[in-house]
Amino acid sequence: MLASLGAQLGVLQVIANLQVTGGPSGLGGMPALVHGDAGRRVAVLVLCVLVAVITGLLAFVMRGGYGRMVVAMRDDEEALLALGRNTRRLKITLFAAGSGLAGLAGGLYVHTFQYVTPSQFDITASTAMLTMVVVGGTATILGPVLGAAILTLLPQAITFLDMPVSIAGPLQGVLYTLLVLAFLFLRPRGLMGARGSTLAAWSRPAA
Amino acid sequence: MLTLPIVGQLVWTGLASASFSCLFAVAFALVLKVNHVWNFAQAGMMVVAYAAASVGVRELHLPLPVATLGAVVVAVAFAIGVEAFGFSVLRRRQSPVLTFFIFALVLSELCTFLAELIFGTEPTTLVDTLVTPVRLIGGVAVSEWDQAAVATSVLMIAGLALFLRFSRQGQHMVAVADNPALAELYGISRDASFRLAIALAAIFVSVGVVLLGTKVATAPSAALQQFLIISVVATVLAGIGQVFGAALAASLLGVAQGLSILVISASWQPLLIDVMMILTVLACPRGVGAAINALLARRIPVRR
Repeated sequence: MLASLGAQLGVLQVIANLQVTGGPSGLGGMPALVHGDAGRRVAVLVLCVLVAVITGLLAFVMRGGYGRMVVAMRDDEEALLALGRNTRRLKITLFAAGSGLAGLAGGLYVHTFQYVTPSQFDITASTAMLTMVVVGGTATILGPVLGAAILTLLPQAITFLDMPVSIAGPLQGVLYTLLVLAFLFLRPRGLMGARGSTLAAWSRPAA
Repeated sequence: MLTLPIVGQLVWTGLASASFSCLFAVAFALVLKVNHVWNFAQAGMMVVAYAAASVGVRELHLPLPVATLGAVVVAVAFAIGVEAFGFSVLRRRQSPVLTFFIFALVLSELCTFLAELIFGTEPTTLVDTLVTPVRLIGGVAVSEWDQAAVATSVLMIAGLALFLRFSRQGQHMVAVADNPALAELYGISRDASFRLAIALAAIFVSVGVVLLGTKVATAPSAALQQFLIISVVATVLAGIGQVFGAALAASLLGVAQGLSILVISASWQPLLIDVMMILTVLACPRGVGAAINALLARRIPVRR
């Protein structure tokens, strides 16, 4: 975890200091994926379909033999090693696949917002992604999708209050973090995790 | 042209500027040693302490020492709350390490966002002027701030060493750090030691942020994005359980950053910290201090 944190911060420092990546100001004027209101609606639909396809593909893979191997490694890596499986190659493959999906998401993000700066991907961004997974439910396929949707949409509710940016920005952050803390303590297994998590979970040990 | 006074100046400035980093590193390492928690909520403690000191100085017009005391009280209360209502709950539920990490980090972010909401995002200082009288010692410019910062850090770290070595509560903390279950068998309250450790960390953090606020203008987000990372790197360099090693590592990092200006530009300096973290985690996962100890143990024969 610490090595990956250091790598993330190090890469950001390198990007923030290179001219080709625009330095700390980043790059702007990216070509938009779509233009106009109708185009935006089509883009949302296409993105939703893409999420559904990727989620479906992941669910399909996890239901098969490969998925059983991944689950076995999560539960007991040594036992899987004893069965003669190459866990190192499996981890590298999974890490690469996850990174590929992150790259795809990054590309779509940049062409949707049309600019990218290193500060958009600092430690708070990593925390946000981690919390989306935890809130939705780890070890589930739909959990991270649901967690991402909830934690992205709910704080946006305050945009209807028409507040200045200097207040709306930090307020969204406060709402977001309070939501995460509430889920962490009241529903520790996440939305898609085991049922029965209530306020009683505050005092009873996790099974 | 590189001369001895120039090198001496860079070393001294690096050392003095690292004084608050030493305090932050000690706080982080202490909680890791005793509570066995990577206390990323320390950034939240920094924000809370700084906010309290800032309110004391700017709104209530209190003298800085009094405002510092207020910051200490507020930070200690916050820290004990985090331990009692956060870490101990997660510990009781046998939550995985990742949950502790997320809780601590999200709590720090909550404190940062609240501070930005209340105080704004602009960097601020705790004093009206950051310039203090300077005198030359052997060609090296030593400011009053430098002297106060170094003296404060040394005294606090020495005080902690004496507390851990000679006081009953300190010895209890060391016992709990080594083996919590065995310590409880001997009648030592594990929870009391956890709370005392995080309270001590809050004291170090509070004094550290006051030193910081009298040296540079600081924004609420700097705690999480900058100073916490230095604490983590210093702790990793020293090794888990090496509280005073973390202080030494933070000092050396400060000196290294000061000297590196001779060869790399200021904009690349933060990369130095990140590279050191990666290299230490990959090459010496138990810390450089532990690696040196292991090497010495192999080289120096044991007398039978």
